[in-house]
Amino acid sequence: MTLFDTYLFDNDTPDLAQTINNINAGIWELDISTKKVKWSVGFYNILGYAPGEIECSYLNLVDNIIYYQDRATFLTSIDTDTIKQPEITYLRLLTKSGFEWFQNTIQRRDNLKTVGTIININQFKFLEFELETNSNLVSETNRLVKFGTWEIDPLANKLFLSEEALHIFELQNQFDSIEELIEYVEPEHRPLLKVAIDDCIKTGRPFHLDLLVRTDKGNVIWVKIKAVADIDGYGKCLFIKGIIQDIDLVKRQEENLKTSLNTVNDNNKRLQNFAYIVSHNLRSYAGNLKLMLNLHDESKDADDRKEILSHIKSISNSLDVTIKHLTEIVTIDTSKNNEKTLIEFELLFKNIINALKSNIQETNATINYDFTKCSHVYYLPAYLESIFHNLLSNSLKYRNPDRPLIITCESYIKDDHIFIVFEDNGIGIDMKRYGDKVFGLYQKFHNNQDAQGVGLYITRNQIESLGGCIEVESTVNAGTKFLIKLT
Amino acid sequence: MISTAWIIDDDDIYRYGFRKFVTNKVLCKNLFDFGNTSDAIDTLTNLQEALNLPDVIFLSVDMENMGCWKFMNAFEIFKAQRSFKKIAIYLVTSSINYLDIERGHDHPDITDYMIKPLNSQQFIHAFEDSFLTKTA
Repeated sequence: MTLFDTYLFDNDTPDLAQTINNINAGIWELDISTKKVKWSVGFYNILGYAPGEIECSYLNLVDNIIYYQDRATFLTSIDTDTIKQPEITYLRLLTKSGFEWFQNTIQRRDNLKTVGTIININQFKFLEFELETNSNLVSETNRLVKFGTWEIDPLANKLFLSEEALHIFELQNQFDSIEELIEYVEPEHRPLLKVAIDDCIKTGRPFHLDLLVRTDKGNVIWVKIKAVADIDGYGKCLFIKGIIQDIDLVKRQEENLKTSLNTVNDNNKRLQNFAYIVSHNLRSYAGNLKLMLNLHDESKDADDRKEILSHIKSISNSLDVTIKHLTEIVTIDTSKNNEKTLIEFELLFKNIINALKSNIQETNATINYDFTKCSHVYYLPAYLESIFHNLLSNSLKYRNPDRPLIITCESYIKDDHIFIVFEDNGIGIDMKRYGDKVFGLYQKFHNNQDAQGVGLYITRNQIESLGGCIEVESTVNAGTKFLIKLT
Repeated sequence: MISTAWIIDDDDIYRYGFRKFVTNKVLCKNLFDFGNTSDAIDTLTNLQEALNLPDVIFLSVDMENMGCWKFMNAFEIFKAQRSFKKIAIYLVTSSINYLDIERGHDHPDITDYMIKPLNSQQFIHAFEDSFLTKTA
């Protein structure tokens, strides 16, 4: 008696065969030479039929029950001569309610017969599909938001990064160790990550860091690294899990925003200072003018009136100078759009020296310059003239009378920027006291034809309006050094 | 009438106008003017006779190198070393910078704060008030 005949039998059927028939699995047997098949009761049942309800034949099996796309898989699995081990394949079979997924385990019994079992795995297959879809969705989403996960096994010093995380580092393979990961972080941020990981392993403290890393292809980007520790009942860290995200774009935008905000703040401060100075200076002239005119009205003495009038003239002159300076300051922003030209440093510098010749001779100053490292600059000629003129006349004005004045000026290029260093051995500036006021429009300039306090203010504004910056270093009685980034 | 007034201001024209005005109106007997703080500090510390001390000082806030506050510091030291009559100190400025105004109000030795241009009424009041304080 074989299993395949049992459905013909009644309750006297041996227990084992009964039991097997009731298992939620089907058994089939195929005689390869005669193509004769046998199906167990379970086989019919699992396909949703009663025994004998469908034709039990090789042709029916291959042509109708097995889905046509899975036919090749089935035929290969039964045709293989060499296979003695059970072979597992997955097929779609036509059940009474449509095609469903089955797991088919085939075993060669002897040279002629092949037997197999089928189990319905439709539900699992569906779950698998769903899972695959979800995980595809997750990894696509992760890739889209440049987001990956990572894990550390602290006991083994092992690190695992998800594919997306590796992608952020532009890496193909996993890191060998935590130390190697840290090597990818830019030097200034390395200690941060090292301490955070050590701390997380030791105490289980979670961390959250924004770090600069250098990817395998050498791109420096901002990444966010977060981690939490899994701890055991004794608080010991078993595992660290976390995320890695590429936040470069956001971070760069944030930095741009910060820079803009600073610029706006600076401009605002400058405007406020400007308004304050304007009102201050104009007020002092207005006050003096009024005082003088009153005195002039009241005065009877001709000599007195003459003197008062001379003062009024001098107020008028100073006012004129001040208004000119203020106009110059106001027009800086509008003239920055004028045409830039290629300027030869040496030629322009010599012109300025020539213009200040009498002052230079008078003070017996030595002026050294070297523009060989960077001979030309693309700049507004009027600005560069004004910058050199202001720096030179400042040095001449604030020289130390006890020693001959030596001025040096040179240009150079660094990191694609053009710099000028201008240095003198004059009286210097007390940086502790006046450091923040050097470029400010701070000093009043009434009664002062030299109008001190305006020159450097204009210089700074001209430089900054073209995107550069100016810094000063100075020691009292030793000298002053200006470092200018032109472009 | 008060006897002595000082003006410490580096604005030559203002000093000239001030002197003219005070002389014309005959507001005090002696007027000393100083174009910078150090001269004023020197004179203050070298004064032998308390009698020669000024009754009122007009001190400009707008002088270079924070001259005004240098003078105030020197005045504190001087005051701590010697006892003398009440001196009215008016801080004069053409600025409307509120920080300076705050400092002016906080300082116990500063009588008041005046903004240039001063009109004649303010001038005369300052002299009269100092006189009243002195005699009170």
